Amino acid sequence: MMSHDFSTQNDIINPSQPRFIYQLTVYCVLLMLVTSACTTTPKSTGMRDDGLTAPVEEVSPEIVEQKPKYTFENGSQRGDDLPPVTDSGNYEQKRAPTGTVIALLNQARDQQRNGKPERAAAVLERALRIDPRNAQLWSELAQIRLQQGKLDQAESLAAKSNALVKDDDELKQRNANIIKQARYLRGG
Amino acid sequence: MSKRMRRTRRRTKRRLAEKIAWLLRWQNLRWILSGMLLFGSSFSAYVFYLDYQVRHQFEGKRWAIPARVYARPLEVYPDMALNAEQFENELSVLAYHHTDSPKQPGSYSRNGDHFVVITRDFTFWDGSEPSLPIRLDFENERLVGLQHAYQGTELPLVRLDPGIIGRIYPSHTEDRVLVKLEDVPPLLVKALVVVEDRDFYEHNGIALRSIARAMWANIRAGGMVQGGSTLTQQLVKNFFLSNERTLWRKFNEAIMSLLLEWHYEKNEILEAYINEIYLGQDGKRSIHGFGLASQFYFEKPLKKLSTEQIALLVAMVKGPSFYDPRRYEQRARERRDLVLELLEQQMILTELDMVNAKDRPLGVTTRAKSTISTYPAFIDLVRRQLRTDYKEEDLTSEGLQIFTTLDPVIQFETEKSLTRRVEQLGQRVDSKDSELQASAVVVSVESGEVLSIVGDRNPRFAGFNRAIDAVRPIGSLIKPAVYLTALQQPEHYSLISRIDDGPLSLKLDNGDMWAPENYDHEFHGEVPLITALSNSYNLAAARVGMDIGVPQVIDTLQRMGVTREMKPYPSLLLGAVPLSPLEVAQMYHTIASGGFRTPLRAIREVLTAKGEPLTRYPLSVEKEFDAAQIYLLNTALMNVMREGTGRYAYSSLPASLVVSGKTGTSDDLRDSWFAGYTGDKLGVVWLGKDDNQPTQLTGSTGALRVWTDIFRNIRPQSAVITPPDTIEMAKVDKDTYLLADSHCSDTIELPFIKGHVPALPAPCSEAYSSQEGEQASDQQDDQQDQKSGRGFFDRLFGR
Repeated sequence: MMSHDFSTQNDIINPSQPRFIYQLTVYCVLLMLVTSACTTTPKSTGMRDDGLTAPVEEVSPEIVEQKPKYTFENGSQRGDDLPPVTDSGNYEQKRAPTGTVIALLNQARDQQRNGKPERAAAVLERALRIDPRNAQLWSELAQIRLQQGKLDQAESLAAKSNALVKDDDELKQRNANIIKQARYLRGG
Repeated sequence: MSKRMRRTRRRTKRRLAEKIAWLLRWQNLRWILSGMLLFGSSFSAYVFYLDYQVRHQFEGKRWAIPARVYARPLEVYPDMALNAEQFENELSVLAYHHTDSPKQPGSYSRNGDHFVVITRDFTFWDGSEPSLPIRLDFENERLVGLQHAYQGTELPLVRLDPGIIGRIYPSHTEDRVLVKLEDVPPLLVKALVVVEDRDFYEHNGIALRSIARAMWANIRAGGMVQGGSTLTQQLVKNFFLSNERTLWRKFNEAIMSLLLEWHYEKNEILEAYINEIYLGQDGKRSIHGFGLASQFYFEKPLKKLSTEQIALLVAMVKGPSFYDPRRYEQRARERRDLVLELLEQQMILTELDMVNAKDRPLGVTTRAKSTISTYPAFIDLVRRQLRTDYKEEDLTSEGLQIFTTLDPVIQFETEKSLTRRVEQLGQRVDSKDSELQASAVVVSVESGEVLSIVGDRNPRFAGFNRAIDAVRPIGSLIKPAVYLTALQQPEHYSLISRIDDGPLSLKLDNGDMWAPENYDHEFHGEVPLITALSNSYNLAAARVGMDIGVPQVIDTLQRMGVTREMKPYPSLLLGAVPLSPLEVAQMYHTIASGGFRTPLRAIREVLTAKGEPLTRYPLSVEKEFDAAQIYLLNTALMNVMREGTGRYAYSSLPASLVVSGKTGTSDDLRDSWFAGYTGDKLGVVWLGKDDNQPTQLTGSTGALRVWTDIFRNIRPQSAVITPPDTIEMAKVDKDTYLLADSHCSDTIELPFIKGHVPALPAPCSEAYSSQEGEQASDQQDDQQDQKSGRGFFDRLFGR
């Protein structure tokens, strides 16, 4: 066997590093570019909703017909077991009309009947923002908290209601009952 | 050709032939091919890795939706106090479109005091509110009619969609002003492309032609006019903040740019670029994106920039620090003009426009405003309250909807009054190095909701939030807590108990002497409790406090909702207790609500991006004080406003408005405080200097003025509270503050705890003349018990 000139062969096996890498890189990049030209490119859709503008909607006839969320009840739909909304405020400026508060009160009671006490509480809080010194609303909230087992809250809310009651003995009594029950359940 | 040359050539050819033959031999070819394959696959793997990085970053940034923060929704109902102007302001905050005949949700028409509005539908915590056409009629500052616009039915309540007041971004980016491509001025886009990347719309991410052209242009211009990097490459550079300029980095950048272009449209890349590109530094905060940069440099929205301002921003892309227009005005201007010239060359600007633009100054504002958040103090409060329940990542990327308590109208009035008044007061009090600062909080009395909050005399600053973090001695604001503690012992204290406002000196535990003084450095002798509080006498308060005990006062403060640790030193009685304005608001809220402690809230509910309920923060109430005792204190606080240190308020507020409040001034007039409330709203204002220098303002001359301005404009309501059952009213002679009867002419009616009405008659009364002699002295003995300043031992062992 003829002995090869290994030095020259080494030169051949290990050509200069940078040139080799360079050539390979060019090869691969070309490969990529070729493949990119061939394959379908997945493009993303550019939808982004960050709420800066309100979505513009077509007003369909349905919207005009849609029933508003709250309607005035003229008292006829109230059941006998529901106590009347008391007029306990006596401050300078006019109070929110009872109609608005009744509508919310009824919604709260609906929620309770549907087994959604926390929703009912949220509605009552909403009513309280409109008519904050309405003893009845505070009392109903106290009742919900009592049913939920939040006894400290129930007691404080009932006390708050009492602080606002004027002449409604029945409401005072109901609050007293709530307080009594809360204390009893707490064991104190 | 010489022989030698031919021989060399042959030898070279032979060598070459040998080399090729050698290569083509399978064994060797095998090695070469597997080497290439190995390299190829590892290279591909690397490319996949980069691809993942690119997409993750790009979509991570684009699809991460920061939490939306809403103000309270406006609820309208018949007979509510609201006028047409206020209502139209609310609509403009909500970006409702004014038109002659509204048809779309989000539009309205106005005819004097009559509106027709098509509301937008919206999903709240308690359900969705459908879009409704409604008609509103205003009269005499009230909403008198609310009806369905077409059916005519009366509506009891309509809730409008809430306005977005801000978003929650990751803390290292603070706020961004995201802009959509269609909202970007066309000139900006054109300029960017022309200056930075002429072939943007044509290339694949790297533009060799661009690099060549840029080099040529730079050589010709004799300076760096164009960059060789494409916009895509710059975007990639921005995503991966490292600034190394190595070959390796360039290599990565090239591949990632190709990948980016592969996945995303030109417009998406451009939009991301416009929102991501680094354009400056504000202390620790980096300014990214043209929207934010526009606010930062010009205090104007991007849409409102002029030609030369746009050119400046584009000029700065190359090096925002190097071309900082505030630090290197000349340099920045030169480059801006270069850009303008380029725009004219490319026929984007006419020669006239270019010349005019070059003529104009840079237009940057001098003071670097580090914020674009509309309500930084409030958003800050919201963030803190959410931090306990939500992780940072959830808040900044899930698109949560946060419903807050902020009332934009009250916030506006608070800001307006505060800035105006502090500006005025500051003129007398500001010095070059230390200016007067301020903060304010307004909360709802019954619900404990935070309606407005301001943390800086410039409300737009997103820096130090003084409303929450400026913890300062509250001075005389502590006195109501002292007197409330006293009034909890009706057998010893009533509103007319005589308190000694004479000299007082005490030896403290450490041996020091404590000898407090009144502000006027005078002594006022014996005064009734109500007057001592009204005029904020220090010595009287100190005496009462020492009598009842400092730990008892601390207990009262804790029941009021103060959670900070307080040391039971006598100086506490005069207000050496540092609190923030928000903490003061919590404290006074318990008084204003009739003795019920309600944690102050800025958030009502949190919903997911889709509208599913997540968390609700309910109203919670804890009875802490007896209603009757609070009633007494409230009477005294009303007196502060009518006759005491708070009486300035009635120079602008109607006499019929029932106001209660307390002024507070700390040592050397370093802090000026006022806390005051009506039936429905409570406001706390603090003025002071950050370096704690004296302000030359007392609570009355400083904070009270701001408070009065605010309350004049936020339509507060009085609440006439009926006295609790355990209260008995009695007439008292105004001169002596002793029990009066029909014989007395100048009387005032005051409340007392039932069974503890002091019986000592006033000299003007009939009872007095018939009680001379023994009876009088007996009564006086009993009355001595009501006199403060005498310790337990004194009483026990006689006078």
